[in-house]
Amino acid sequence: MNRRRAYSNIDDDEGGGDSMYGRRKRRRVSDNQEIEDRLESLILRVSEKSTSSLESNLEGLVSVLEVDLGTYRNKILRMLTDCAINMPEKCTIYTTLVGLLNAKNYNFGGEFVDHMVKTFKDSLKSCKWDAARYLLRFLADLVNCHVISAASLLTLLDNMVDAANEDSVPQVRRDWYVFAVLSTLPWVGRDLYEKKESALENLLIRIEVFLNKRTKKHHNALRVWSVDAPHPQEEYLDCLWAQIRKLRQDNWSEKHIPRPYLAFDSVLCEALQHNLPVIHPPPHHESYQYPMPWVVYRMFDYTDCPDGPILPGAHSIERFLIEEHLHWIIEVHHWERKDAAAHLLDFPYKSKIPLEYCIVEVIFAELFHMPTPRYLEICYGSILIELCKLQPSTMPQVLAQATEILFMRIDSMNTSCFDRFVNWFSYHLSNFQFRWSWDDWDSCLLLEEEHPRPKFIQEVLLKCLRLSYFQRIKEIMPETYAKLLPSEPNPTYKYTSEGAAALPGTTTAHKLVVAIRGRCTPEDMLNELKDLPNPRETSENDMTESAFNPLKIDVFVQTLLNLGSKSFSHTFAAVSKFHYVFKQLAESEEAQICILRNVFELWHNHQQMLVVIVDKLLKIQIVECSAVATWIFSKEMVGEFTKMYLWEILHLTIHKMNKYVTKLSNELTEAKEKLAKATESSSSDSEEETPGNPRRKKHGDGADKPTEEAVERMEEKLEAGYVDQKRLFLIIFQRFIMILSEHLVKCDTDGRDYDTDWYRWTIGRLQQVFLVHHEQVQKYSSTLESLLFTSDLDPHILDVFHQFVALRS
Amino acid sequence: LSLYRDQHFKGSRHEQEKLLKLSTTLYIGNLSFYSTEEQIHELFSRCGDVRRIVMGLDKFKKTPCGFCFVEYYARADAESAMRYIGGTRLDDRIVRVDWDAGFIEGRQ
Repeated sequence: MNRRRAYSNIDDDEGGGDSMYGRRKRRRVSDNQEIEDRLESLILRVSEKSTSSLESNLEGLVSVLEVDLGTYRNKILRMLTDCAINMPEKCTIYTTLVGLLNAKNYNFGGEFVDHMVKTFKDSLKSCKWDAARYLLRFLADLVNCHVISAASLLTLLDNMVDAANEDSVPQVRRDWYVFAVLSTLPWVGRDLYEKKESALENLLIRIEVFLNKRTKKHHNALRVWSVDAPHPQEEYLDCLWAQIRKLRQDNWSEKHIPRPYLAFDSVLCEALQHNLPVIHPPPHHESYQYPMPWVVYRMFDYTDCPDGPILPGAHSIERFLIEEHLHWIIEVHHWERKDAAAHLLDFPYKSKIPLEYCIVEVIFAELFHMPTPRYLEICYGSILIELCKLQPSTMPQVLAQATEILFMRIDSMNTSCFDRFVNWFSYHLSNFQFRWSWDDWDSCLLLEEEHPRPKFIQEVLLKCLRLSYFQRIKEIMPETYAKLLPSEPNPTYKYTSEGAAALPGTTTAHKLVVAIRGRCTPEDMLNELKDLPNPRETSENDMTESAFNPLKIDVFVQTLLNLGSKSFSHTFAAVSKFHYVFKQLAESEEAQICILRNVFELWHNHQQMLVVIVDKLLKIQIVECSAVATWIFSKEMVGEFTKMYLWEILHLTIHKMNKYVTKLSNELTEAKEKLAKATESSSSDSEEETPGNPRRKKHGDGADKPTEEAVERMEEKLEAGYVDQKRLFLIIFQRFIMILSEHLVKCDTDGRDYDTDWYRWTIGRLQQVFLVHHEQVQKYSSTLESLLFTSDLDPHILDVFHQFVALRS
Repeated sequence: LSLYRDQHFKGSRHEQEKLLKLSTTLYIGNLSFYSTEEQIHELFSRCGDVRRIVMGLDKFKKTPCGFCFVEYYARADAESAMRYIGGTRLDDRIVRVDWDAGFIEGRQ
């Protein structure tokens, strides 16, 4: 194919040959720009589906680029490097292209390699780990295209394994270097094996030595299931190592990677090769963040998908390549769920694999990823809905099968994943008329209520209730499931119930109702409450002035919220109107906890209401985060302790605290920068004062320049924020340690098994606090270690802490 | 941005576009008349912290009439709701999600 045909092909594809010509006539100046755009479009689209073969497209493109190498060399270098980083799934297509260009123009090949090497080094320095890995893979694949010599690539890989053997650097850094090397071997292993067998063997031995020495303390924290049956939850490097070993056994031949360069063997083998320069990985710096380790998610094997093509085994390299590719598609399209679903279903090797199973496994792998999923949970839920819509004949069945598997293995599922499973399943059901064959799960009705299976159904129904209404949930469930149904979400107002006359606050409560209906002011309200006796003052400490009056809080909170019980809006309006009264009553932490207790007493049948009221009280600063934490672990809440909503409340409280500290710290940084800039510009004042630019000057040291005192105040505020944050975490962890220790000691003295359902939920929740907020908790690791997680603690509890520390070490 | 525009918006089209690009408020349409604030809150808080929900009310009967406004604290959360909730179901109805220039009292 000659250059002309290649050009005209593109024009036809765009259906706009004429318009392009027209544009050129109008704006001659942008000629260069236009050719650059056209080159870009040619390069980007060479791999797309077209009527001619990929080989002829590549040939055509090579002849086009060859002509333009003189004028547009830099542009072409940059574009090809960008393709290497941004389209890793098309790696071999672009390496072939570079190979063909190198065969025609040796100098260009050399420049390209230099450019790639420079970009590779830059991405290592700026911690762009994925980009670095894709660039390394590209360099490796260029060995297959006779652009780079096998020996010089081996030197590079050797240097990277050296980096993995450095002492006194975080293991996550060393891990990454080994991961990068191992994950290039599917591409280049065969060539290295043919040309440099002993050097390759040597490299692998060094990697094996490294892997054997590695600590895997983090492994248990990141597993979705705690047991290894039926599928082991492997640590990612161990798994990749097993896959590479199997690849080596198979003489380095794999069946997944398309290799267009094979068709050009005769051209390429005559090309001259370049040697990579010696590359030393940049040394570790304390500001560097490395990827966290992970555990490979497995829920299917070939027996789960009986019809059609066979699912590659857990240790076949194809499984790794397919999964990596599917994850990549989600990364690129996660923002457009319809595109994501369409591209997943249009996977290029779909005829060779049971695609639906691979997709579902990869999506659940992301949803259950520890410590947190890459994207919002609802992102995965909405992609699954699209997949069901696009492939209604197969997808819903595979998804139902997956749900069944997840439910059957729920006994050993970690608590964070349990929550995500509940959230996803209820959301999914709400999009499909809540249809599910519940009868299949009948057997779980015989289990203890705290067992994960009945618990799962209970929590799912509670979430379904929030997305629909009570009557509907009652109707969708078989009668046998009655004991798992949520209660009707109504308030329980004691001052109108039977026997209310005997309660001490009833008269006042009734007066309050009249007053609120009569639109009384907050001051009137306080007046009404004034005469209530304080039950605490009957005891000896009647002189203490700070003693709050729990009866006042009781009557006020329950009556007000009951009157506002019609909707969230009514409740919020009531709380805002009487904000002043709340503020007066919530004088101490004890009083704040008393408020929370009364909210609970009124709304214990409406979990969602509890969540939004606590959220509101935190936002308008009636209660503090620490009060909420103390309340959650209080005696009154023991019965609620294993329910999901309580942890929803705890995590929203922690989030609120974290967000507040982050906000303060950002504001401080910004103010400091402004201050520094303002000082700088005022010192060079006179020079900058040009008549054409008066506004900019004013902006520089005008209204938004903070004073030094203001910055100091912000620093103090941030410090105070850190203190509060630390205190919050200390309270939470201390309470966990207390109740868990108590349980363990008691079981020990009674000679009972400690490993009860309650224990598993509780230890799971402790783990969840560490993992969900790991970035913030990390700041206090050493404090936690010296104050709470000391060596005399029960090893079961201490282990959770050590796993958490291992995530970044 | 989509084609939906508030018909009663006071100000030029350009001003409206500008507000829409900064807005953290969404117009939610095609709801069931029986859908409650609670249900909407549950669904939309899956994309982020919801600042408030204003139910659309019938001018005369003062009952819900199939639309509402959801306001977030952060623009990014509202964008996620556009992406992930628009076109999915609540109470078996496909909800419509559009940008809104911000709720002003009386638009119910």
